[in-house]
Amino acid sequence: MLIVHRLRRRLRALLHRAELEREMQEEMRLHLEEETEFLMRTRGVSRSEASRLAHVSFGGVARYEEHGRDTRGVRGLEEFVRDVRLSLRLLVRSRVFAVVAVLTLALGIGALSATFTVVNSVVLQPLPYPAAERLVMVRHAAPGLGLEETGLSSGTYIHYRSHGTLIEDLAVYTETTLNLAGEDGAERIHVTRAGPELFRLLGVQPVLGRVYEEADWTGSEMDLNWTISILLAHDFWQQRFGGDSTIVGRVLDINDSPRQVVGVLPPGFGFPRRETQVWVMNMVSGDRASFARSFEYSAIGRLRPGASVSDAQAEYERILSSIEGVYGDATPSRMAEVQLAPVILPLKEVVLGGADRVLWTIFGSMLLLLLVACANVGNLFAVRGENRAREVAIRTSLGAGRLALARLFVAESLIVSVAGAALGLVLARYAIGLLVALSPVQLPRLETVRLDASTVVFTAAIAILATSLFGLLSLLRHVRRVQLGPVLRAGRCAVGAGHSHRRMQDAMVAAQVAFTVALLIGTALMLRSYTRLVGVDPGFTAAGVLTVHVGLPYRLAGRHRELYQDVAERMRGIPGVTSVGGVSALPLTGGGAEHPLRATDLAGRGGHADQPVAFRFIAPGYFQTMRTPLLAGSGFRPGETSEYRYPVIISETLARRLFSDGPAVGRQLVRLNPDGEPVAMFDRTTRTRVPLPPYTVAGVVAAIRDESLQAQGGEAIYIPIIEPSVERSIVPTEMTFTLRSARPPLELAAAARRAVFDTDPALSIAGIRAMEDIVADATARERFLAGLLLTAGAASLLLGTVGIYGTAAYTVRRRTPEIGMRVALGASPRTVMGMVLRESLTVVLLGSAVGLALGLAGSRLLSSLLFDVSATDPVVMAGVTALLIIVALCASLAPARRAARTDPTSALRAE
Amino acid sequence: MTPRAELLQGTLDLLILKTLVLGPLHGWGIGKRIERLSDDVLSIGQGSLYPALYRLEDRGLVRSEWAVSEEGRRVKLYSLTAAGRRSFAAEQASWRLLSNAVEQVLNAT
Repeated sequence: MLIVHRLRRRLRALLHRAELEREMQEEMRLHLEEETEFLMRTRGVSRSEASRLAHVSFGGVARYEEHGRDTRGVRGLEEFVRDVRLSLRLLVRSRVFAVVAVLTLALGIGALSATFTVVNSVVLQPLPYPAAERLVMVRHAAPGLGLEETGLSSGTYIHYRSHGTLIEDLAVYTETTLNLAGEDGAERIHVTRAGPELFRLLGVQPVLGRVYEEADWTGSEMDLNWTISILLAHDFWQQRFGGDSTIVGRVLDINDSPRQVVGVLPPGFGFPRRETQVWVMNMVSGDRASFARSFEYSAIGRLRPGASVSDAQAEYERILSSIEGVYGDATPSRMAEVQLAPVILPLKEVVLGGADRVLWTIFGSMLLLLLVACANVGNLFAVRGENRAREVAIRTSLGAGRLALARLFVAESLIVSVAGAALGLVLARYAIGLLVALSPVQLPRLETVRLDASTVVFTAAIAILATSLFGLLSLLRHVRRVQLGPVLRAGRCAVGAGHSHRRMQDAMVAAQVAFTVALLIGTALMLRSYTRLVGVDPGFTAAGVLTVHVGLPYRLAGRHRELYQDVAERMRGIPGVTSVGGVSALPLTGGGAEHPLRATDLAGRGGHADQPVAFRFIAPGYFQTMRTPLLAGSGFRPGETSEYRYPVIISETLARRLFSDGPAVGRQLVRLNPDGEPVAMFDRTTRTRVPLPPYTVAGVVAAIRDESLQAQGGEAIYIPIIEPSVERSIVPTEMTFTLRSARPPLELAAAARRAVFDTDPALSIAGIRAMEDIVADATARERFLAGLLLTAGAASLLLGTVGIYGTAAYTVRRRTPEIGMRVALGASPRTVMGMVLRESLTVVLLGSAVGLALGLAGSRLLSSLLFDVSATDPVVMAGVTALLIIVALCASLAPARRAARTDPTSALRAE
Repeated sequence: MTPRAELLQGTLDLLILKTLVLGPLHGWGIGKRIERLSDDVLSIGQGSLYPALYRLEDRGLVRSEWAVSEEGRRVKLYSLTAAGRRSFAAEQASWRLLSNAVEQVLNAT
């Protein structure tokens, strides 16, 4: 193959240049020698004469060598390599320039590459399942029930699955926490209930055993001893069972029911979340399915190839209307009441949950930082270029064409860019580790972040762009108007010359200022947002509170009130504890049930009177421990009794909605079931369903921010756990105890744990955390963003300051003769200073204007991440501009002062 | 002085290939042999010889290697490759065709 042959020769020619040169010269020499001897023999002349004749007939050796080299075909490349070598030597001589340029670039490139790696792994890479781009999540909106976002009911699931064609293999799952019994005590585990379709859909292969299948669903749900099949998560198998290979077939006690392990799933698999430890088999049965009793199922499926999300959603909407009459409660009136509508979303969108916004914001800010760094380095190249004007002039006069000069500049840019990129890549590696360590827990797919080939390619691309940019800049400055005469004569450029030089430098500085302003606007907005968020009053005081999340096995459910009260009493006895309370689901932890309520004396009041309300059980002492203000009535301290038979406490928001016409204390409420009817229980004596007695409002507390810090304090009802019981039909199997103490909360952890297990060893502890940490988690995302942007902004400001100072200093130095002249002609120091400062200021103002425009445009994209701050906040805009002006003035101050003190005689003499 | 003729580049390549068909040879030897075989009509300027040899080597028609000649001096020997042999046959046929045609036109009355 000719091409291969040719390539090999080119390669040899490049690598063994010296050797090949020698060979060629040797060949020529031998030829000459033979010709000489031939001439001596045939013509009988002397050696010297023969040699002369031979040389004459041979001609100029150099020409043949050139020819020979040409045919070796690597001329251009050889010369470029020579240029690179030369540039390297020159760069080593100007070490300061090289080091500063490379470090600045490395900073910018490293930051951006690190961010790119995270963005790539989390946002850009597809989910680790087959045909992941077609995976979707199916949800419902039920505005009739006040539910914006809810899951599927058993009836709708079966209906969609049997009639839908555009989504294959619809699978449902529910999540819960259950008790796993063990010798050291019970453990609370994350459990997902799902059928075998889920694993088929996600293409999971177990590392041990097998996935359960339809054939395993053999028993009846009434049978408490039916050993349902389960699967274990890999990490859980390692940690809890030590990676025991005989685990398959073992029966575990989960919530007092036997569950048999049939397989272990591979490491890294964690659907629906990383924390899931056990998957319990569950199949939705058609017998007891209902249309709208409860929407507890989350559903995912895969789109048929070619089907779009909107197509599938339209199909489901059509199918839904045909569900009428299929289930007992699918009556026209009920359907009209609920107003159910399917909502289909790409699964990746749900998994990312807005994290892409956060990450792209960080990427944008790092990009701005890189641009500032590049402008800085561009400035360095510009200054360096001026110092080499003489050298360039000499080269040009010796015949170096534009191309040759361009090659030289490109070689230099290449070396700096490649060095900067390589160092940047090394920095990126550490930066990635830092990013992952600092990022909020909620950021999804963090475990997949890894520096790989795509990062290297990205970095290489940046290096190439940088090379082109700097090469272009150098070219523009020189090849345009190099006036050989004056340059060669003056050595340095004379007074007044170099206009184009200065304009380019000013442009660089303006660019730096613009990008810095844009970046700082984003930073300031984010910081403001964060401080506002942290300053929000959540409705309680978190400092000094320890939380202990306790779980109850079903068999102890009957004694729950007694057990919880015992635990609370024991905790009160811990030295240092000032008060103890408890709640079934802590605020800001995303747990907790919701039920609709209705005020009995306002039955039928329109609108969303039946909106679901947060429903919590509390152990007396909760509001005192959390320091939630009591606004009316009683807050239930320990030992307090109530005049009402079924007392409850409600939040002020709920009180305002239900009882806007007067005090809430003393009024009555009933809980509704999903059909909108008051909840009824089967009464054994009368053998009929009897509605539960209504609650009476005994107290009103301030609204607690339950869902998130951003959302307004919600409506909530609190059921105190007292004797006699207030609520008989629901048993809280979880209770988080809150302990307030003057000591650091976590110091009480061991004693708290003992209090729980001393009460009953079957109680499990799901977690012990300081309340402050839980609140901190709620602001983790904003803190992460603010912190990163602040770092980028500070770095950018620093680079910008250096750039402004450098330019001002350089300008002063170059205009020393001119300044000397002005001073000699009578200019005062103040005038000179003013001149320098004014120049700096003009550039900065121009840059700031551009930066403001950029920042305004960019901040609009940020608005979804901001809290209580407008994207066009004028205080921020003005503040950032003012900051930059002050910084510019300070940076130009020293050079300006130096200019003012110029001694005219020495300045003019230096010319 | 014997009459000398100008040679086209392609023709030189053909002659070099022919020379090498008769056996491997070094640069100087190739030039001398062509001279001898043509009764001194064709004299290869050294300025054309080596570039032609390098070109042929680049095209993969000849290969070169350093060796020791019978006289004990170091020489760079050129020899035909298989591709060179094939190319020579084709070039020779083509040359014959061309020269016959030219001859025919010139002899027409």
